[in-house]
Amino acid sequence: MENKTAFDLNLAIQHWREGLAQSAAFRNENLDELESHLRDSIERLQSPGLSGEEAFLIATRRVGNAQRLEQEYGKMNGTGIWLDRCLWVLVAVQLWSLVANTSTLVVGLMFPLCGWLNKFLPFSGIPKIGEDWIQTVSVLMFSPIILALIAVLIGRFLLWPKRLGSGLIQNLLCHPGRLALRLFLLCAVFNIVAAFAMQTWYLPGLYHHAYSPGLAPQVLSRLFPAMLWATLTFFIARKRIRVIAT
Amino acid sequence: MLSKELVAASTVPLVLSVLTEGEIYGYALIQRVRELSGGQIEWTEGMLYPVLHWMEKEDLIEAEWREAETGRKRKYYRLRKEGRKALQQEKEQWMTVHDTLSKLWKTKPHLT
Repeated sequence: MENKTAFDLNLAIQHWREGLAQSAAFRNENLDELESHLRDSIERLQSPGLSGEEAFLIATRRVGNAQRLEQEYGKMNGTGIWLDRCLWVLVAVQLWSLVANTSTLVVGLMFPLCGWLNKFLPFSGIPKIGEDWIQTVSVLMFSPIILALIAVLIGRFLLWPKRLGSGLIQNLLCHPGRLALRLFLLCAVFNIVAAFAMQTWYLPGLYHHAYSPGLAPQVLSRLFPAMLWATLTFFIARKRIRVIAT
Repeated sequence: MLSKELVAASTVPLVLSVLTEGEIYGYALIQRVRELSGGQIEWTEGMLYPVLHWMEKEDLIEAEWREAETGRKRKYYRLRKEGRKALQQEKEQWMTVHDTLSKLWKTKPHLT
């Protein structure tokens, strides 16, 4: 009869692998190889009649203590670990610029929205929505820090539990190079769209004091940081991307 | 059972020597050494891979991921030219140690 708490070998192997993956010392390929070894070892141990659980316990013990493995692999992958750290810094900076730009855009678009709303509030006695008021509320609501906090909360409670199921997110988390590259593309597209949006809806709007530098400088000023990120991503991620590709 | 130090020192020549028999993946390599040594040489299995990767970096061996008959992927290691040269040097050094010790141990009965 099947036991309710029957040992799930694949799940146990997955957990074992995830335990090792917590450390930056192992590259993905290292984990693939260790897992392949573990599966070979388990298969061999099971053939004389050991249960899955027994075979798993002996096999993991034979592979070795996680801490010592981490030390040895850390010595091998020193440069790679460094590169990963740089990439994570890059990812963080990119995320920040994305959040900061979103907040600028949203706050900017609040003014034409305020003007538009005022047109539909013709009743006397109801205070018109003033620019000061809108500015205060929107700056508070969409300040980069608040947006970053919301992003962290969404990430923590909505995305994290799905981490195991979602192949794309897990894949990106394992490969900071790919993540940085995707973020860069996202930033580039977003920046261009944002520049057009500001130019079309915000600048011709109510807020006449706004400094209007013209479309070309705006696009350029938004594209330039993106190009800078691209160059950085390229040079830092080059080696890592090659490693991933092979 | 061999001492830790001796196991560590003999890993590279052992790997190179097993690879002269043809390409092999990590698990099988460990099994082969265990079998040949009659269980006397016991590696902490996971520790072999950093050594293999180091040897790969040094161009002594090369590796390739391939699908086995079971459908699972395994990384196969193969000896390179540099590896053969290194093995030759290792052989000479180990033979020197072996010969010296043999001579010493053969003369031992005369001392008593």
